[in-house]
Amino acid sequence: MTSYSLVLERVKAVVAETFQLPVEEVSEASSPDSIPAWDSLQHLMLVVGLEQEFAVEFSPEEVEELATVELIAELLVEKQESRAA
Amino acid sequence: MTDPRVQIDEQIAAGRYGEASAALEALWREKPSMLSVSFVESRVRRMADRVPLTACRMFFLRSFTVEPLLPFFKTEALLAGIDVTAECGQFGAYTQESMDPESALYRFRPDVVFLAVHLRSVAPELWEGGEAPARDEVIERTAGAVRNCVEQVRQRCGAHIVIQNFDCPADAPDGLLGDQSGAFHLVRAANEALKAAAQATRGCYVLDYDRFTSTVGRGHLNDERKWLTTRLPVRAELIPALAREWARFLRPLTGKTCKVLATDLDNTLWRGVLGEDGADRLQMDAEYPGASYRAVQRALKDLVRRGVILAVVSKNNPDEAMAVLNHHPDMLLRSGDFSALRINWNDKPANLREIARELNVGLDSIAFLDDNPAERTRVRAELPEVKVIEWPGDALDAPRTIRECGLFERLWLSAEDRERQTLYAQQRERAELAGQAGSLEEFYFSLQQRVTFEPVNARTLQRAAQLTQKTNQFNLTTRRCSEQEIAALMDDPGWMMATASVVDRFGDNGITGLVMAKFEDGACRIETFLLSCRVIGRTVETAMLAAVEQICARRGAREIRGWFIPTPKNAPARGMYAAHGFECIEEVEGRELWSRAAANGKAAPAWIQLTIEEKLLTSDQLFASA
Repeated sequence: MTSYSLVLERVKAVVAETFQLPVEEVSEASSPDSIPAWDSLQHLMLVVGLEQEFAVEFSPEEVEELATVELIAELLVEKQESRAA
Repeated sequence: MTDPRVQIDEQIAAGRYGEASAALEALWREKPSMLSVSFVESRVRRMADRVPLTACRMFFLRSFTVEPLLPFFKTEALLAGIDVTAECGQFGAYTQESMDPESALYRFRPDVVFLAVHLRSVAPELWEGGEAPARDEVIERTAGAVRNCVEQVRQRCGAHIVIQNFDCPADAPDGLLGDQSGAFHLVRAANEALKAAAQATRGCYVLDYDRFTSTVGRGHLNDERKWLTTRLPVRAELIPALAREWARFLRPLTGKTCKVLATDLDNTLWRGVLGEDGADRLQMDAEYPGASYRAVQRALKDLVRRGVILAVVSKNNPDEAMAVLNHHPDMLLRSGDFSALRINWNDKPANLREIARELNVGLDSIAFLDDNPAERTRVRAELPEVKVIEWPGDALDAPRTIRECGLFERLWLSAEDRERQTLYAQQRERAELAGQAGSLEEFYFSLQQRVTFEPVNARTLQRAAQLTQKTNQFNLTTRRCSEQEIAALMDDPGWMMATASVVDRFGDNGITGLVMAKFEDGACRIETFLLSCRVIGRTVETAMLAAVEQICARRGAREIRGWFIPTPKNAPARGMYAAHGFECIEEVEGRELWSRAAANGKAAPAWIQLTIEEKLLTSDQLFASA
């Protein structure tokens, strides 16, 4: 598996846990539009969950960009690569 | 290696709950993560048939974001056997919410109110720098806001209140110059005022957030970006640690603390194996490596000061082990520090059962400390109720493990807590002298008594009144009541009106006990306590007092009081209060008023299975006089 798909699976798991959904119902396209519970408070819960799980920190600007599961996974891969470099 | 989750599910399926619980705890401790929250929760609930959960309703009054902490907090609680239902107030609305009797806070009927106000919300200049206000003004603004809120809550409901105090900022605005005058003396003064407010209020306790942040490291804890954008005061990474700190209050608040620590000897209290190395080569001196074991002994001695009872369970030659306990020059603990000793070659679960019986505590009040993983597994397998402390890989870490396990937390100490160990030692000596305690105990056990304690209801009202009218012997106050009088008190939330029914191996004795007590000023005042002559002399009264005590713990009453009013017939009841650790505090014309602290008192006797109907425990009218 590529590092993107590994990260994606973990992101889906965090999203599923945060919104109390079965993980199968979470896809790359999942967003506040497709998950009704995804409001601003739940977004914070998600961000904190991701920061914890991936041991990263997001800037306030990045937090606003995390609008879909795909964008989240991409940003995390980017952060991991820049840390490894 | 097998996936630990698969293994845990197998253990649960096989009914091996003790091992499954330990594995769940280990999984969580290794990495408390959002990804484990649902797993831990569902598995703990699956085991609730044997290891029941205690419900706790908790309301957060707050000035900052606490929501991301809650999943971690609830998981910590579940691992302690406590099922938390939490609700949060509006941001910064703690004053209004505490003052409005119709607010969400009071509608929620909390068992615990947690007051989470951040220094930055009430006195930002102490955090960010700027002109320092006058000391009195700071105290009024910070501690005053919290104190006012505490007073409001206490007037309107009897929930326990936990106040999180103020943490000093990560950065010192005045640099070294500030240090010369005590950089954060204003924050510390505000915290002193908070402590005084808590001490002046029944059922109110301080969570020392300032200690927590300094232990974790303030610079590390603080996340300025999170605060500015979301009002979350801690870095995501440290959320689990703070949630755990909060959860430490839950065991003492719900009465789920351990009363007894049963410890092994070899390689636990000293380094070495007595039977192989001999007493002279055991190490527990002040130098490494003996120092690790000396520190374990010191940690155990600290627990004794908290009212925890120590016991020994060790596979050893009793004479040799007693010689070390009594005479070894490097021992900090002596045999007198232990209230029960099981030094023999029997298996440890059997010894722990005996200790529970001897000390009159439930198995779920016993914690077990042993360096040997095989013994720990054996105890977990056979006695899932016993709390087995996980011995760390390095003995040097053991004292911290003992201190941080949370099983022995106390929020207050009664005089009895301080004296408990002496009381038990005396009891042991008496039993040894009499030499017959065993046979009496055997008799009690053989009865297989089950006592059910439940509120007086329409069905039992008549019998309750009848008992007050007919019972002469075991009747502490001989107050006669009519059905109407009892009916009126039945609906009064300030009163506890409870009957005790006793079933034994010979059949059902029906309703044979009655307690009528008023909760007032933080005390439980027993107005009527009686036992039908059918069940006198079988320690049913001890079970009833234990039930009263558990209800006191839930209602926040710290003292139990009751009169003994002598009559020509009630001599059998005369010694009851004295026999249960009460002290006579007043005597008027032959009438005696007895009193005892309600905290951590006697458990129901091991030979009685006591059931308390949930309604008696869940009343939210804690201080009905308010």
